[in-house]
Amino acid sequence: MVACFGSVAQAKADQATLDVLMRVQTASQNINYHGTLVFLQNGQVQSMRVVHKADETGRFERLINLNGVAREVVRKDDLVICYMPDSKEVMVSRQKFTGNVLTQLAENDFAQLQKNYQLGLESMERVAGREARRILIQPKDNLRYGYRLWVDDEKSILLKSDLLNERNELLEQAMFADIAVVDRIPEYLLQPTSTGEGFTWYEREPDNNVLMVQDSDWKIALLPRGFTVSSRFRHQMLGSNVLSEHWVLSDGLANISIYFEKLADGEDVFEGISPMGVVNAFGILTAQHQITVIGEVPARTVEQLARSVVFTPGAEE
Amino acid sequence: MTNPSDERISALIDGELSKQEHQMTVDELLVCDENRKAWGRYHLIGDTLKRSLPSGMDHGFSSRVMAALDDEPTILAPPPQAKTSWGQRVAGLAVAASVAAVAVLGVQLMYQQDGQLPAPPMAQVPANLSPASSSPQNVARGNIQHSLRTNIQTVTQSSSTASHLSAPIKQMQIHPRLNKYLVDHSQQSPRAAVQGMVPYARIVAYPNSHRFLIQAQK
Repeated sequence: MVACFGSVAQAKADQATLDVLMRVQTASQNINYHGTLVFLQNGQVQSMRVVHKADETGRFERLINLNGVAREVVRKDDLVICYMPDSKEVMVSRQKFTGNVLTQLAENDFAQLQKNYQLGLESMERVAGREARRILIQPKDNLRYGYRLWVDDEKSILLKSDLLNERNELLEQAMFADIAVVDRIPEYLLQPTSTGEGFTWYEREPDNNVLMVQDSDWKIALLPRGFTVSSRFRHQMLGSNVLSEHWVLSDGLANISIYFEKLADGEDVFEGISPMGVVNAFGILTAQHQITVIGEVPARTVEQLARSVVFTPGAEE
Repeated sequence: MTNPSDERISALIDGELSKQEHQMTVDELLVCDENRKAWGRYHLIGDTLKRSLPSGMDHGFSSRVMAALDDEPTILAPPPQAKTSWGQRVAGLAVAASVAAVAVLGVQLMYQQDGQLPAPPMAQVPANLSPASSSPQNVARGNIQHSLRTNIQTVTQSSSTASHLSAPIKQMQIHPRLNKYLVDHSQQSPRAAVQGMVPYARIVAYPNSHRFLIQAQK
């Protein structure tokens, strides 16, 4: 029941907000910039160098932590490489969604978003020296977080983003301290600092990267309200040689992953809640499988989901 | 070096091995990274059944506790008793810490002071502890709640293989499984564009922020 009485004005405001969000999606596909991103989480501030390049040759991004451990993420189109000097690991993986982002951002995604969140177009504010439109995306229940976004008025770059809990308290903030929109990005700015030498590399076999799952032995007894299963894959987890199922759930904005992995003898079991900043993970052992639910949602949501996973071999035709 | 089977590790934890088997198993266990993981895992399973783990546990704790213990006088804590409100919320990250029990001890101590071990207010040395078990390294590397309760030999035994342990344990900062989940999860949706760089920023920022998270839960 999204439509309410007197909702015409609201619908217009919603549409204006959705337009801004849509522009954020498209802008990232043909713009070059670099800057310093300040990331605040649990009272700790990190600053990162961010480089973004998008043109006819593809889409490139690089993030590197400027303080402490020089963790680094380098992306080339769907290929994402994470360098983790602290654990001496490099993880190479591919985005599972390829093709035109716009076609996948169908209107029903936004419809779903509107079902679960209240949208609001707010005032103009200055961020990183630029004029930005503030947007509020407020959850309608406590199964998801809220977002406050500042979108560059001219270039539609996301300049600042707050993640809020149900009491509207700040959980996480990412904000450009400075940003330069440029015509071209010199190649060296996209080169990883880390060579990855002496690190353990994890890379999935490309052929095993993505298989859509038709029949699954798994079922979710009770989906968290507002979430739908948007895709089901079967693939190798990094560093594993067994095929695992991976389901992705979405409420139109927040994503949750469920990983179903058959446990080998002597493998670690991960059970219980494990917060990683705003990302919560909940592990549970079900039918000799490690079930892990992970997402940028409150702990209660991942826990509820993990506990409602049921093994039903042969149930699905 | 042969590897003790899972059954044998399990039997070891349950105190079902003969003295000779016991020593042999511990020796084998402590020289191999995989085995130490299994060791930690079995203890975690035991702790899970006893519901005695706290909700927030840092996988890096074991190494920090180890480092801190190297500089500290002996601290022997009684095994954490069930805090039922924490119940089933067993943190998974510490599973990877090859000495999960150390991490449990670590959480409790860490909660008292940021990253520093407190003077030992909890040090109630059980009467039956032998002097051989009370050097800091023994406690750190052997620390096994179980052993504090019944199985002192384990602690004592571990000192002979202690030199094998320090390096690999200190490297073990992050649960590889969760790292991979985090990376995998953060790149799965076109909608991520709405969130801009934030999913990647989380990966880049994660290790340090986690430390603060644990402290904030005090």
